[in-house]
Amino acid sequence: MNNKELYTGFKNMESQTKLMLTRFSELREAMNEVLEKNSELEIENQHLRELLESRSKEDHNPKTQPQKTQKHSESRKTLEKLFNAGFHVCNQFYGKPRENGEGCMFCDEIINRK
Amino acid sequence: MPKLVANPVIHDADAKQPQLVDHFAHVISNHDLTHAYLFSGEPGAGKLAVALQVTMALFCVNPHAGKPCGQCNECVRIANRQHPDVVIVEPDGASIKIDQVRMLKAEFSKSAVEGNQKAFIIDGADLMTTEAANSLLKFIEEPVGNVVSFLLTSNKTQVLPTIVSRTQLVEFPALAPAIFAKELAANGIEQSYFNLIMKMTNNIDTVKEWFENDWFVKLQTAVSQWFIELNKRTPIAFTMVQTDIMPLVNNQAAKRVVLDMLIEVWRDVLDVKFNAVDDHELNFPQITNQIHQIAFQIPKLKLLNIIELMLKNNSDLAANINFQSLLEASTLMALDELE
Amino acid sequence: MKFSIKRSAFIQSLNTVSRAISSKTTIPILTGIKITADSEGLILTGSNADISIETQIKIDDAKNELVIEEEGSVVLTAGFFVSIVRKLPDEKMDLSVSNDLQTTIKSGQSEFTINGLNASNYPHLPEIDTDDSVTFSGDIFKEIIGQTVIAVSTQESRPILTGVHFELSAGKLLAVATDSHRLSQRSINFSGSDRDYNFIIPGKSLNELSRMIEEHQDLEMRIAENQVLFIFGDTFFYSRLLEGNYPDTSRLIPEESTTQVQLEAPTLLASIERASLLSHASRNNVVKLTITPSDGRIEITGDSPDVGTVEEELEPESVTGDELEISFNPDYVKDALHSFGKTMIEISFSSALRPFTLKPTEDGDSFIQLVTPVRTF
Repeated sequence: MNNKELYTGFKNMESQTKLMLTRFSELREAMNEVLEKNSELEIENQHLRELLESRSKEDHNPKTQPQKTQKHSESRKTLEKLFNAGFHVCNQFYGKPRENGEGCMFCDEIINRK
Repeated sequence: MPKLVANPVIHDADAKQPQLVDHFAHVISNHDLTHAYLFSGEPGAGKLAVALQVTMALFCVNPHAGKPCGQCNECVRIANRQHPDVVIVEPDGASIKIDQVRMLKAEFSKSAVEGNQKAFIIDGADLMTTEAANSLLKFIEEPVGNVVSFLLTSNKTQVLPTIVSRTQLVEFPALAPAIFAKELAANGIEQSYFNLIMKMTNNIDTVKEWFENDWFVKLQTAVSQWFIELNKRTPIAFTMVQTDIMPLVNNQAAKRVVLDMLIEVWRDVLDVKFNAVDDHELNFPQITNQIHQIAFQIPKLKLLNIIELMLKNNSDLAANINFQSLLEASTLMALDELE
Repeated sequence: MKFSIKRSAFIQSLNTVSRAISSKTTIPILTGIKITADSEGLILTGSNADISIETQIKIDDAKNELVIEEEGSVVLTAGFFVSIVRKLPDEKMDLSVSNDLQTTIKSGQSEFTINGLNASNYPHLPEIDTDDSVTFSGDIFKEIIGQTVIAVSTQESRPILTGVHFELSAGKLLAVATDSHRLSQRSINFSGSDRDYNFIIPGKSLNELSRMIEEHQDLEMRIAENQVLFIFGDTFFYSRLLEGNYPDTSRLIPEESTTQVQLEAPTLLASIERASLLSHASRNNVVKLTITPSDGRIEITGDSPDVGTVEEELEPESVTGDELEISFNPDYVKDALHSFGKTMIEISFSSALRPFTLKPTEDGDSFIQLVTPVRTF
């Protein structure tokens, strides 16, 4: 291999590495988005299932009204689920991954709000 | 007291983009300025000057009809880039570095130092990583307080689409030839080179670099000589590549200039052959006679072949082909066509 | 501009303003010190845009041996100007600035000429109305800073949390900082102003301010839209503020608890410091606290499979309520305990997953630290 080939070889490799690096960060970004979306969809899915369930119950038994407080605690539960899955649910950091599983008092307040 | 001189930034903005300057003066006096702009245009089109000029108009103590006075302490400090509430970021080398983005984010979240308004000018908005650009987005889109941001780019297609969609785009037209000619004249450049220069660039700073130690003049002479030898159909044209042209090629940018010149001299021949230009419009007015001679002699088809040859050189250069071989090969092929 | 001064007095003031000057600045002129001579004396200014420090050398203080022959101002590059003044041979020095900003410094047989910068290019510090002013004891303000600044965030993702939130209302000052993992809140009563203020000072500015306040010094705080100014002695300390709304922290502090422990802060601190020797070497930095009210004991354990284990029993002053096992990052608790000094504190828990509070047993509402536990399952 002569000097010039060596040089161009390195140069090509350099540009390829740079390209790869940007692809990496793009992919990571994309993965984060997919994860966030996934959690959102899971929550929504659960909401829909609950709605469906309560509707079918209503159909069978039109007298019992779904209780509001219960519904409230259900959505809390989903928030807690999302939190336990490793994501912030608070206004400050919503949707961001929690680092090292550390607690967050903003999330805690929302999940346990009276 | 230092003598009052016209504010160089205002002068620059007025000279390069008089219409945009008037446009912004109008926007400012109607209080219609939005908080984020994307200035897109070629290097040298006056993007930074206009951004600074608009900023001055916002900070100026004695503004007049949306235009800054240029003389007050605010205007002077903005022009000198000494105003703490006007944050200017330019690429450090080939890109905007993480440290610079961090500094920007910190500045966006802090109150102004002096008054109650801040301005951000980010030159090279295309030269940030996707991540960096994304992290700035929130600050640019929903700034806290009285903030205006100018993002400048010469390469709009490389700017993150989310940035483009959240800023107001202002296209900077290439400098009008008359304005650029004035600028060239002001820098002491001889008029006979104007046509050639304007075909190749719009940026006065590039031109200044070219004319250091008369490099451009020497190269233009070498290319003219090469053309004259080709016209005589002598193989001397071939040796001239090594003896006259190559010694002037000392970096990558120089290679492009050489290739552009070869294209432009043959474009002259084409234009003359088809009576498309007057003589004073030629790129190489110094060798008008030889251009006419060749244009008269050469069949159309062969001329088109040569021009195609010269155009192909650019892609060959990108493919890392040795530059001297490239020039020599195209010289030989051109001689072939001329036989 | 032309003046002569006792060099030691000048150096002292130069040192004060140099604290604000950094070689990394957004605008070039901030690498300089601004010197202004007027009828009252000299004013020196240093700034890094975030904080600006101004100090006065008064002409009527004989110790300064200050004589001003001609008023004016100039900006001199801090780095070498300060070094020059420090190394001059004589006890006194003269400084004069010509019309083209050439600055001549003379002392004994030595003479330097350096280039000055035009002072009109220097940032203009805001003029802040004395109406918006509150006075505190410097000692207490320093204490407030020390107690709250530990909890500010070092992350840039939420810049607003990198500052301490000050709320002044009805004669009460409330200072809060949180990085979302822990929170620190201190309040004091003050008199002399009935206006309401709400602003956020960057933690870094407060750290610098705290270092400069001397013992038993009064501290006047003046508040403007974009900056806050602290005046102590002959020094004016300006800081920019963080912009935006600080999150509502009033709801974060739990009001009820199921388990309570009272003990001396230094005892627990020493014990947790020992336990953190192992946790720091481990992948997850966690210490566990087991509370058994029936025995009147608490146990601190660190179990790091990759390093080893530590166990330590403590007998607190009192332990009441339900049994509890709770894990936390020992560094947060260490910071909190440090801020109490030598006092008896009460720690209140409501569950292994909920934040717990630490406060002094006496005057408990004026100072609260809140720490979130770590889930270990």
